[in-house]
Amino acid sequence: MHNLNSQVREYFSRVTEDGLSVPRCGTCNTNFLPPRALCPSCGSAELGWLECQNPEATIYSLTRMKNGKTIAVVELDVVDGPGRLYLEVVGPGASNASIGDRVVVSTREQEFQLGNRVPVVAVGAAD
Amino acid sequence: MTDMVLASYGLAATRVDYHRDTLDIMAEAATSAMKRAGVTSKEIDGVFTATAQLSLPALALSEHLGITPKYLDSTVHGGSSNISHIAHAIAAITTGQIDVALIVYGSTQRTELKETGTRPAVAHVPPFEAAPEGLFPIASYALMAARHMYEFGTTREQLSSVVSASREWAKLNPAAVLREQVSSEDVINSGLISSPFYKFDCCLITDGAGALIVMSAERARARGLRGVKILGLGEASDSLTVSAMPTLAATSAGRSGNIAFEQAGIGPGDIDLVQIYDAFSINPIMILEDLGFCKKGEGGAFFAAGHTRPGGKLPVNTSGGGLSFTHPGMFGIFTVIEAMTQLLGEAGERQVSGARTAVAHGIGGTMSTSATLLLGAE
Repeated sequence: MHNLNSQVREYFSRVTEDGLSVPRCGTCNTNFLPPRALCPSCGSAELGWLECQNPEATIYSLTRMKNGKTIAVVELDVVDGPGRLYLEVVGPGASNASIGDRVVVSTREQEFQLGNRVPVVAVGAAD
Repeated sequence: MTDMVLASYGLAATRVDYHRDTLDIMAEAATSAMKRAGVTSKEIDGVFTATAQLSLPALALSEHLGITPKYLDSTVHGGSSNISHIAHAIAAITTGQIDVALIVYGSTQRTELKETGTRPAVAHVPPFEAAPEGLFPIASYALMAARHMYEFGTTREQLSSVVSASREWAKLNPAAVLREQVSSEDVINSGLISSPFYKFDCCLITDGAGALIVMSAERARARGLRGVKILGLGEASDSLTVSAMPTLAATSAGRSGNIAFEQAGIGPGDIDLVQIYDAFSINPIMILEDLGFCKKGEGGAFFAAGHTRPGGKLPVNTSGGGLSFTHPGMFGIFTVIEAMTQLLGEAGERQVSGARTAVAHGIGGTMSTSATLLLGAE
């Protein structure tokens, strides 16, 4: 894997252990994505994390691949700065998901180099 | 406005019936450009290259060509890198560091894919976006296309019109790989890759190489060379990751284009033809909008109206582009070479008559960088 860094490693460790967290700037209080060394809003290096298990989000864009998998970019309500999440849409409702849908981000078990759980959007048939 | 010119270009054959390694195909393009201009290896004092396949690329290529340059540049940020090299060459010549710059790109990615099963690439999926195992980079561009369709009502039919326009041009280019006309149905029947993209929405995977020689207009005149004038060159960037981009429905081409047009003292209305790095069918739509050739959101309709086809009011990707001509990876240099070919009046059947000004636009990463080059006939 290319371009690894301690922030993205910590992000996936947190997802695995405690559920989703997003980086939060200790100087300007901006919540942002993806994790990085300096706050993209103010440039501060004083960064922490905001735990936000099962946060609400809106599907910003979405693609269905030839293998049947659906991938979405979602905007988290809690992220006020720049940045979104790139994740898989899973569950029986995945094939009906579309841009603009309100969703909840959760995590699921997956073998991944940076952790054993990864963020997903799970959409049920009842949706 | 600079007083620099592209004094020569060279292209390697996309397909041959013998084995070529990366240095072979790069040397083929480089020696073609040198021969055309009557420039020997001893006169070249700056070498610029980007490739996913060589170790210490500028050094390896220089040695292979018998050059010991004062200025080596292996800058890599994807498919706009070679246009950045032109900017660096202009700076190095302007400051007196060098006199003659050779810029080369080459790749044998198709050969390598066939032999090893993997394609060499400079861009890899970012760790933050790796868990869903999306098709990289196709899914990233597909997400841009889907968002553009959502925001502006761009249609599947309009994406197909980009593909069919590229084939119409390719039909006029004997060097193009795919020259069969395609309908919207043909695009759909080519097979889903990552919605809204089907196979024909995606660029080719070929071998290929291109080379350029940059020098001052004064030096070119003294040598009796007819080149093309560099009128302006602008660069801009967004993020490498799709997650970090401020929007997926626009690119930084607006910023790079503004810089280039301001330098040249002209606007989109003064341009005769446009070459855009068409990695996917959405690229020319978004970039034509962002460069100001039509209103934001109207790029799809612009293509569907036929304006970019042979005989249209704004010819776009007259070689057939990465969708139909060739795509050995970083296609930026091929946008420049086609613009130059047109401005020199050497484009044969696909020649745009009376072409005096052209845009060559490269992108790097997943539309993460933009480089806009404005060229003018001498």
